[in-house]
Amino acid sequence: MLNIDNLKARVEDKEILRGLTLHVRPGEVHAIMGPNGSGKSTLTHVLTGKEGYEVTGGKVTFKGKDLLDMSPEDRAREGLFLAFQYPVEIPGVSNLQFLRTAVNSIRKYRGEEELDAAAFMRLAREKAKQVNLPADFLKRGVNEGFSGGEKKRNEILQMLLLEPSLMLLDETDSGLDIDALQTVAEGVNAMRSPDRGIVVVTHYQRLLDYIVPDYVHVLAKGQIIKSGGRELALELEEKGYGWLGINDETTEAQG
Amino acid sequence: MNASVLPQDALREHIQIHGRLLAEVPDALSNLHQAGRKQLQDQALPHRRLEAWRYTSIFPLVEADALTRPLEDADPAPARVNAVNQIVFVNGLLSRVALEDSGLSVRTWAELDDEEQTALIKASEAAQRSGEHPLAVVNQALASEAILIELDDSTELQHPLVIEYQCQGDESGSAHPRVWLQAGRFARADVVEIFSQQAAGQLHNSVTHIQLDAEARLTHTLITPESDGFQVHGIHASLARSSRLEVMTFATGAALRRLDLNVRHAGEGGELVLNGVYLTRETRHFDVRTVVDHTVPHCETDEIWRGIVTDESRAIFNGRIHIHPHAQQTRAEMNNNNLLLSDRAEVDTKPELEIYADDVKCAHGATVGRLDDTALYYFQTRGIDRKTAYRMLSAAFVQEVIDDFPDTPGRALATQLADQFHLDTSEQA
Repeated sequence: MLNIDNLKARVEDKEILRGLTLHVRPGEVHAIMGPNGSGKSTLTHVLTGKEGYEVTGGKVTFKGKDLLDMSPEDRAREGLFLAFQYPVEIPGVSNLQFLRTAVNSIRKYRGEEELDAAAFMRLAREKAKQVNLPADFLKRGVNEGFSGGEKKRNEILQMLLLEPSLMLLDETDSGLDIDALQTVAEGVNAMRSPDRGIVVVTHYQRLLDYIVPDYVHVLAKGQIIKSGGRELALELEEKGYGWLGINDETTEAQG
Repeated sequence: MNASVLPQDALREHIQIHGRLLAEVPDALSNLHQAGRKQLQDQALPHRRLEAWRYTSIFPLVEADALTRPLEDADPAPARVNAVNQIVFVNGLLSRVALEDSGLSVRTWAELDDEEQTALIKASEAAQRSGEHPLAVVNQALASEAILIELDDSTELQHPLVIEYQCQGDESGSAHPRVWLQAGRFARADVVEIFSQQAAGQLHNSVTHIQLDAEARLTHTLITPESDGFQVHGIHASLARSSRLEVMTFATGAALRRLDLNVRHAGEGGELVLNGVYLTRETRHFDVRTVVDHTVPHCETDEIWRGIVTDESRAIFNGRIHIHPHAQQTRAEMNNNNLLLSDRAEVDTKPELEIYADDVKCAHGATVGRLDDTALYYFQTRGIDRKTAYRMLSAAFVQEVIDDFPDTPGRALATQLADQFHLDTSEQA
């Protein structure tokens, strides 16, 4: 469903992705691991269409359509979802209003009927319960004053409501204690299905104990240099990135 | 006009022409006019070297000849909101008074006795004496109509009192209505002042004096829709012991718009909320100056102003809180936050605290920023298009201030005007 072929991208004058190839089929869970600066976050932002990233080569198709040609909102409407590493605080816009606008934008795009306030409220309460977010979080400003764990759970809540077909999780484990990590992982696992793909981007393999991947890829200097099964993550955990000849922590740029 | 004549000199000449027109037909207002003209002799008219008028030029008023004559009497348009207690001015002249609630009365200048007139003139002079309110003095010298609204002691007004100021016709000229509003001890009321648009070349220069007696509570909502003309409005309020005043302003831009909101804490235990929202676009102009004087101890002032300034418009916020030497135990807070949404727009913000007492809690701040790109991107990744995101984010910036307005037709009208503004400006996103 997601085919990335020889993708090259840069930020300002700095080449970050240098020919990255990755194919994700429905039902698969892929983990992309790599040290800081390897290009992990750049990959997620290029896929979702953030401004400031210039694609200089390669192509990406999503469900057969040219992904890079779409606006960020159309990518989301087609079913792409990014769980942010640092979810954004938006005071003054209630979580409920934000979520309902998002859900209805996507429903409208799919030709489905928009949900009225009452119907949406019921749905949102039910999903909030699933990620252990008290209902009053729906009334608060988007992520406003949320703790790190609450923000991540709010990301998963959005994912449950938007029902994407491809989920990108960007360092979703960072800043989470074990309980929050489990809640988040349960939310993600609840979404696993034969017609959905998941790409987990992470520095550490900890999250992969909870969201078990089918494939693990190692990203270094903008390319995937090694792919394998789950055991590759464990090997990395034990031996560090140095084992693959990658110099961790010394790379200056944040991917 | 001779190009070598200074605008303020030309303005003075225009005011004199207008004054002579009024003097030709003496009426009940003549004593008010005379007292005003006398004050005007020692009054400097606005010019750019006066700090209070640094960012707003009166040149357009001169150029349009707006001050040389009054606006003609005209038929009213349907009221903008229907209210049980309603006062409508058209071109500065009283057009309709309908009051249903008891304890509330309105009298025109002609209906006041000599003693009452003298007292009101004195009160105005006291408020205008500082020399900082030149257009309020002009209003008095050229007053189109003057009314006294009284709320009896302990009156609790059941419905809001809505005062609407309409400008009709398209001839240039000026209107100068003047209102005194006196709330007796323990009186409670919600008042809304709604302005209309002015045609290009028209000046609407109004003044409202507010006097709260001890323990009175009043909310005062100001609504100023967009205008191609000039609008100037002054509020001069005085708060007696343990009274509370909320002045909530919703403003947009005009060819020239200037609001002067002046409040004096004159009795201990007074509370003031002075909040506002301004939304400006195209080449319109908005200038607000607030001056709060704490002259006695144990009073509070809260002031929050939020503005969205776009296209080639310009907004000016100048807020001043003056804590006099005896005003111990004062708490005062003032904040002004702006969203500047265009490279060609301009915001000038100047919050000032002047403190001469040592036991006070005061804070002030100002920010100017743009819509956060990361926030826009976040919306987009959730399937929300950029235009909608832009509209939701700019609405969020000001709506919480509007939501705090008292529940009157003023709040509904402010929300409606703001929604339209956000919708229109998001088209450019």
